[in-house]
Amino acid sequence: MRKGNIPPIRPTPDDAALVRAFQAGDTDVFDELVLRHKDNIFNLCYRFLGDYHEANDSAQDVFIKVYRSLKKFRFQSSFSTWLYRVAVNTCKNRIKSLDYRFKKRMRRLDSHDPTNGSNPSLEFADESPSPMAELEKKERSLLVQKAVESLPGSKRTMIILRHIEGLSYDEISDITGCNLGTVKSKLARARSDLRKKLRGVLKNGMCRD
Amino acid sequence: MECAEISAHLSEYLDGALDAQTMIAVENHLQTCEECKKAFESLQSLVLELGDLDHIKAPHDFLEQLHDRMANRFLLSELIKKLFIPFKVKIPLQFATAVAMLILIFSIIHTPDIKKEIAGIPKKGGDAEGVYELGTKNDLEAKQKKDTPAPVAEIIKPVAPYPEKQLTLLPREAEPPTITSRSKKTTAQPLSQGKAYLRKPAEEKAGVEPEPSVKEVSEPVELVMVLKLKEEPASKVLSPDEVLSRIRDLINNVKGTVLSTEYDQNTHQPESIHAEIPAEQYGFLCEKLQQLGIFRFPAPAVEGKALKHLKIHIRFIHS
Repeated sequence: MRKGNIPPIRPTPDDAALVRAFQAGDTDVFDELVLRHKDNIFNLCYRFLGDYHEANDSAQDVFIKVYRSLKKFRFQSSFSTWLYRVAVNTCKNRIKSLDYRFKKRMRRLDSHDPTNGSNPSLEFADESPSPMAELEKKERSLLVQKAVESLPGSKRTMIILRHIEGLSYDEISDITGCNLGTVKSKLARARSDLRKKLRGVLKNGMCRD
Repeated sequence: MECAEISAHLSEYLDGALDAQTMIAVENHLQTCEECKKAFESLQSLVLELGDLDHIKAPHDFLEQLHDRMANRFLLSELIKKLFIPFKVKIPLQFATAVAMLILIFSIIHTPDIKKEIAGIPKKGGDAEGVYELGTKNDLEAKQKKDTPAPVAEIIKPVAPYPEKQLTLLPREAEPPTITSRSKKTTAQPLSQGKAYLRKPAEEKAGVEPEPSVKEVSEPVELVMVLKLKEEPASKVLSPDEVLSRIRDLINNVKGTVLSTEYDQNTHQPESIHAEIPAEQYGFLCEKLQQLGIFRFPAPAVEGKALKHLKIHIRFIHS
């Protein structure tokens, strides 16, 4: 580039453009796709599995699967919807696996739990202003996370996709393959179950006016 | 609307997913019903709590970790590709190779000579000529002086055209020498030429040449055993003929047949006996023979073949 020249402003290609580039043979663009979606997929995996290492492994599995299948992607849904679908299925399979069940039982004390303040590898999107508020928030988060983990598979999927990933009913319907009515009813039941599980927490000053 | 119906719509109401009419109905109900209002507030609180959960980020080196894993996986898949793809060609080839190797190993293991080596039995060929190389009396004496204090000097000669195992009996306290076997099939010869003569049972009884045995012998193996007769107390000294008689009885007891007996020409004492016995009685006969004498070597092992009959040649050493 010559000195003094202003680099042309190139619009950031959307996912579909990157996928097409990948399909055309430019496999390097896959890194860009990973960088765009890694946090969302990681968060989803973490909320599903409740363990940092498991989430890391599963999130990587998701991208490896996507890398292998991306050439066959036919754009029948958006890339992110497809990515979430792969992630949800990977997490569900992981939960079913004996290995995960065993590890869950034997979960190490030094596990990277987000409630553990000494864990340097976790990064939170925001920071609480005071230590007490931080502590209270972590305790609440832990209870909510445990309650979410205790939900059965489909209900857990609904809660995570809707409330943690913030997806719409239509997107959830695309990802899970359920029709819209089923999504609504499953989500209502999942919320009801979760409300019962967290009744004590919500009553103790957690209700918001 | 009833409270139960309203309660069922609260979740969609919260998300604004109801149609306008139902939305207004729920809204009006919540203004009047305290219970439903509390339930709605609780639901709102739950949704806010879920929304407040921290967004956990992937580790900084997520992409590097991913690259490493992908590289490892692709290495593995490349290896599998090299080893097995195309499946239609490589899998049958590998299978055939494996089968060929198995057959080779099986045939090597089951080769008789190797089986004998494994079982500690001397093999027929090549290097197993030790005893026969000791064909001179001086050689054997020299060896026996070295091996054992007991003066048991025997020159072993091949007897029958069957593969043989040669054992020589020693006093029990002596170290048993190495087991050897003859290498070639040779024609039968008297044990000590010019000094021995053969008598067959029929000749002994009636002086008539016996009829050839009609019993089917399926590849009998002839075993040569050299038996040093025990020194009985003076009061119970058994004459050579008595020993011979006992051995014949033993052979008859195991349903065997005495084929011939060799006598020394000068002393007319029995030197050896040829017999044929059922293979399954071989062990029993050896046990009984040990009551009469001591084997120069342990009784030869019978090969694992399905033998019906064995030819044995028992040679006596008189103390």
